[in-house]
Amino acid sequence: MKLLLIIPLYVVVAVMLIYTARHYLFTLNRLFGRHRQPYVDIGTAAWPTVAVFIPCHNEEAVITHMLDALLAGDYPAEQLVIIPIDDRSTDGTRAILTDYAARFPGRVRPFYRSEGKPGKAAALKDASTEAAGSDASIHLVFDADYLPGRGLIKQLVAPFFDVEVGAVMGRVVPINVSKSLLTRLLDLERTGGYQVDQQARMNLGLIPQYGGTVGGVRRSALSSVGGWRDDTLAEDTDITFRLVLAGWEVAYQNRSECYEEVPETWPSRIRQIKRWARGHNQSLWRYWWRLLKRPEHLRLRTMLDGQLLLGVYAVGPLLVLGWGLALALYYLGVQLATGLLAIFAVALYSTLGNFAAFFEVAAGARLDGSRGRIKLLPFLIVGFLVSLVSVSWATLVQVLTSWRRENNHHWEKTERFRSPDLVVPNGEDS
Amino acid sequence: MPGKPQPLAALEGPERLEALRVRGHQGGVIAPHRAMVGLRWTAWRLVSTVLLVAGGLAGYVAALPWIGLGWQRVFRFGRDYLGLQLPLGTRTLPLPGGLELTLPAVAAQTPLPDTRVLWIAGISCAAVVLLSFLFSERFTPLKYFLRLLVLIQTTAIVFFALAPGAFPYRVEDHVFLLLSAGLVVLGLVPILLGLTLHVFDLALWKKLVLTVLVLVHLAVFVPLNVLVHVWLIQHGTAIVMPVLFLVFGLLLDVFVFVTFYGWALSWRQSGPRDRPPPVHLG
Repeated sequence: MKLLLIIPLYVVVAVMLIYTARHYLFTLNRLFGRHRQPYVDIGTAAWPTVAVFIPCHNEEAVITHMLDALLAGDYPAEQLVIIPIDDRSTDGTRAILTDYAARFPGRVRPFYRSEGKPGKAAALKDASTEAAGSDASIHLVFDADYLPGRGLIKQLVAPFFDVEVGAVMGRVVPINVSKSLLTRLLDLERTGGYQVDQQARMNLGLIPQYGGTVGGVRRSALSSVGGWRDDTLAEDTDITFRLVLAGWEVAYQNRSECYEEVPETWPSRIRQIKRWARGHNQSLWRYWWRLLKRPEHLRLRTMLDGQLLLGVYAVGPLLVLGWGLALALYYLGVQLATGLLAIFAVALYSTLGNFAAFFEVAAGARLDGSRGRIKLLPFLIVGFLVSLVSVSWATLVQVLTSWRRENNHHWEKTERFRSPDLVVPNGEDS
Repeated sequence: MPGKPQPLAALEGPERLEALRVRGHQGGVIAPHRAMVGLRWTAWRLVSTVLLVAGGLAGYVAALPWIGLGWQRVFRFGRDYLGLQLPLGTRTLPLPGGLELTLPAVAAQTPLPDTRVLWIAGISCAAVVLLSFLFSERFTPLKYFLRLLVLIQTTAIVFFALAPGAFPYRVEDHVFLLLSAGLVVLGLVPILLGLTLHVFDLALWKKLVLTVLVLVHLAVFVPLNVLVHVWLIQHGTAIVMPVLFLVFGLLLDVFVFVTFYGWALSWRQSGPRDRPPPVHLG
């Protein structure tokens, strides 16, 4: 009986150790290794045609900021088309888009959806083939609450001059950091995830993840793998692994930063991370075997790290299982090794999602030059506890209901907190 | 040892080129974007890290007998301060290399919960759960934490309701386990700091101070924390032991470590501030 509990416990500990070692290596690489940022110097070029897709569902509070920021960019106007996808909004989003289309003819070309599957993935799937302007060679995607800087589009397009690159991802930076403890903790998580984790994966030739926003895909690459899938909750993870399996590279651009609005309330955060967990787990289920079979072009280390990347949200329930086993063994009188319990305790200072360990977060914040934020490090456990429970619950429900074939695709968008009164210059007056 | 930077005129070759690359208006420094900066790894960093880890471990081993004695004194003082009617003794902890350490021990009966205590614990748990529904969304983490405590406490209630005689721990075991775990954490501190803190560009004395601070803090904190556990067990019976062991034992030690670590990494870097961090573009 005791052995039946001890063996799985050691398996859980082994998984924790593997993830901890992985992120320690990432941190060292980011701090001292050579950075692969091969496209960052491209400033002058024959820029290709670009379509920027902005999936929208009731985004009246933020969409004008996004459009204004894009219109103020330095990408050649004749090569850029902005395609806001309005999917069944019931607020003023459609009217706003229509107004922008009239004011910026040819530059803003809204795509309206009122039927078909709802959701971001389905919206992208339709718009990427049917929208006017979707024949552009590069498709970038932004969520509606983002605020791209003037030069961001060029920065994100530059990697596509490399013919092997199928997708690009930029860095996400929270704009509403000072709102609450939650936003500060999310800022730390993002710092570890992008400044360290994504850049280290880029450096090491592993798989930087296309994150569904502040990034994009080459249209020919997208077509070659069958386009966006509308039966997934995480079209970003899904397309990342389909592209990688098909032999395309994913490039991460740490220099290409874009502001986003992180959730300011815990319920909003819980909904967000549950959605991410379900979508990511879906990709784990779909691609782990294909990845394990390792296509010829994929290096062993890339495959192995890809498996770990696919499994980041499965680690949550695994850790809960580990604590459950430890509790059971405690009652059975098995005195667990202190080191083993210490590993569990340290694991509680990791963050799910990007699974950045506390030293990774600290390294990222220090590289960012914002030392003061690192004092919040011990409070990561606060966010982690909520994430752990939410992710584990979402995974459990997902597993238990996986036999049901129901159409559960709908918009699961994150609540917006920004005031619509924010003014973003769009260059209209200049 | 790292010294002061040399003036530009004194530099030659690649060093001069690197200095010129960041030379700005009127001799100012053009700081590179945060996306590209890294840290310099130097032989001195490696040597100082090894020295700090070795020194920390040596200091820890040398201090072990004092820690054992100190903890015994803390227990005597704590017992009197908290008014605990406990006979104190010692217990020997065998250490690697044929060493051993004498730790304080509590030779008291372990009070087991009776039906009344089980009911009180059950009602308290239910009350906490109900209370947690009244919390606003801002206190969501607290809500989750309290419910987690209730979950573990419920397992204890069920266990003591079904098989009170099968509980495998006495207060003495609880104390010994936590003190031993504290010693392991203390021993891990220099190594963990070597792996995660000393690689950063902090001044050597800051790293040294931090190592000493963490070790001293934990050396004082561990026995005091265990004494609080003993007080709670004496007043709340063994029913509180699972929660205390799993949530308020080693986890608190790690919390202390991470807190100091975060504080230390918020300190300024060593060396001149007019020199930008290196760029490692490949």
